[in-house]
Amino acid sequence: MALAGRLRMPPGRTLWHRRRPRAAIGGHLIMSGSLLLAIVILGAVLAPLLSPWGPEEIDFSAFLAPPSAAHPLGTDGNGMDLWSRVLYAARIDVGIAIAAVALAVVSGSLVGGLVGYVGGWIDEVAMRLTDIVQAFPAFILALTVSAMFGSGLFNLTVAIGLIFAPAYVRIMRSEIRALRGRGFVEAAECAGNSRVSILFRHLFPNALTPVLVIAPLNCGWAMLTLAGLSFLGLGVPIPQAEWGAMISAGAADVVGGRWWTSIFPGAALFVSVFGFNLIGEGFLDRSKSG
Amino acid sequence: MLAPVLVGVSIFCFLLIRVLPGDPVLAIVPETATPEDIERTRARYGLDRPLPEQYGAYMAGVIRGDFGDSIRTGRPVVEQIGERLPRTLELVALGFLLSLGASIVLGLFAALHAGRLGDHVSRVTALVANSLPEFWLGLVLILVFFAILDIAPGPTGRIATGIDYEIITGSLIVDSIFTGNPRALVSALHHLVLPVLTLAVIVVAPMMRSVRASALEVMRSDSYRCALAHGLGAKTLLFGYVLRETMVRVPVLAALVLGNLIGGSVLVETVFSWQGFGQWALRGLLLRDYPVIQAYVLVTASFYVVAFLVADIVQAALDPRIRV
Repeated sequence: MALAGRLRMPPGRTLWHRRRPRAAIGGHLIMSGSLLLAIVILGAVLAPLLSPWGPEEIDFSAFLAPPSAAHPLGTDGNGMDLWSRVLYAARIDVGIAIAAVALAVVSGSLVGGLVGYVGGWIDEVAMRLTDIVQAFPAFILALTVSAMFGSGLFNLTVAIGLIFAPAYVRIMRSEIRALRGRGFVEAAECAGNSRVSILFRHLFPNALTPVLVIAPLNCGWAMLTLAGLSFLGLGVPIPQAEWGAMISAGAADVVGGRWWTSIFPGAALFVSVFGFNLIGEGFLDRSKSG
Repeated sequence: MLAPVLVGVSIFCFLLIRVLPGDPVLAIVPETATPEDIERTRARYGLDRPLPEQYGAYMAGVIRGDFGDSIRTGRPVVEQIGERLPRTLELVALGFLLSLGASIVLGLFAALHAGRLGDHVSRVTALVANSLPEFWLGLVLILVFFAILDIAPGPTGRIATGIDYEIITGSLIVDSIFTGNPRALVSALHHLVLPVLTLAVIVVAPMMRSVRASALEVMRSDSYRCALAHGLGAKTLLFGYVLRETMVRVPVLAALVLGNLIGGSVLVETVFSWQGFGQWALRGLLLRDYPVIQAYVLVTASFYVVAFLVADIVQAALDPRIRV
């Protein structure tokens, strides 16, 4: 019976099976993810060379035209070339996602590292605050923050960064707390290093790995958040080329069977997020078997 | 332990929405309103009082089950929650259950094929599902099953127009069963298929991954090795050991997923014109309707708390070690 065969001990971590490193698979995942992202980023950088149309240029002879030789992905309801818009949108979507996560990593790690190292009531307060931010519905948080500072790409980046920062506060804090009592920290203290130097030169570099491992996964997630906000009309303003806003603009056309306006930007968004997720999954494999 | 978090969330929300640019009172008074009119409207909603007093009055109301009146419509917020929340809950509950069932089956499948082709295929599938924007997936499903194949209804709400139905709980399935209305039931179910499928696909990945990891852990444990060595049958091993012990580890993550679904339903609701809880909150946010936003944030945060509570209870029921 096939099922009975499957129910034996699984490979790995048993006495009888040599551990088969998942890291080898992790390498493939990282490679294919990087390849996908490289294609997307290359398309974004070379957009002016790859398309004769500007991202907001209107072709008055082609409104909502299906894919053709002149417009390889067709045009949207405003007569703008979709191929060109999909390419230019990558600049905003990938750019903001990476910038927002970078902001979250830096600010979250700094706060998490500090409160983890100092401890005491500051630590308690900081943890309760992250509890509150994390229990808050993400889209309300993002909108309020960007509405507070006025809309714009920079404010969107800050808003999305703020959503992701608490996770890094938590990870960095627990890493620092775990490392604080270790021998090398004591040695550094005995050698007369200042607390700042211990934190930045001895603790941070050793605590960085788990933080960086989840960063690519969060980049994909941040991109979905940005596109979701734009889809709801709370993100990148029209007519700027952005995948979520483009999907939203074409949603009504899809219902009528004119699929190209929404499907292509969504496919581009999916491919980019998938690329980030492949890299993130590969990182996870590596860190587990490392 | 979670009650202080709820209070913190309510204070944070209260302050956050009040620093937003845009005045809800100016949005509702007619253009001919005199400054006295504006002040009177402001006083009607208590917005002229100091913030701590406003917050105190609000929380006193919440404890009595009164979330105030919507600034925009003047209707009690509780009434609107009663109308909108069941629609979203119906959607989310079905999507969650479908996803939970699928993740248990797929996770076990992956664990039984660990390190083999089946494992890799299900892993990549999970990664794909995890990378899909739900609002786009919904549109793709609409394109395929409505625009092309024409076997699903279009994204026009929860039930076909022209069908009479009575509202009791607000959930169309429950109501149409109670009132013995098969036409409404069929139409409601028909309209639920695509949005439920969309929700299920986007949350299946994390749960499936967790089931796989737990099942592998179980299969590598000493007790399982012992059961295996005793030569127990495949059915006993699978259902009595692997599945049973794996299920113990599922509830906590499932609670998190359920909480996320309720807080994140707005995108799928928008795609399918569901007019549910999320869309209601979005509109409230755009119009700076303070009581609406506050109620939404409090209710979604409470759902997290309740979901985790239920998870603890379910876990205790499944795992005799936890019972004291």
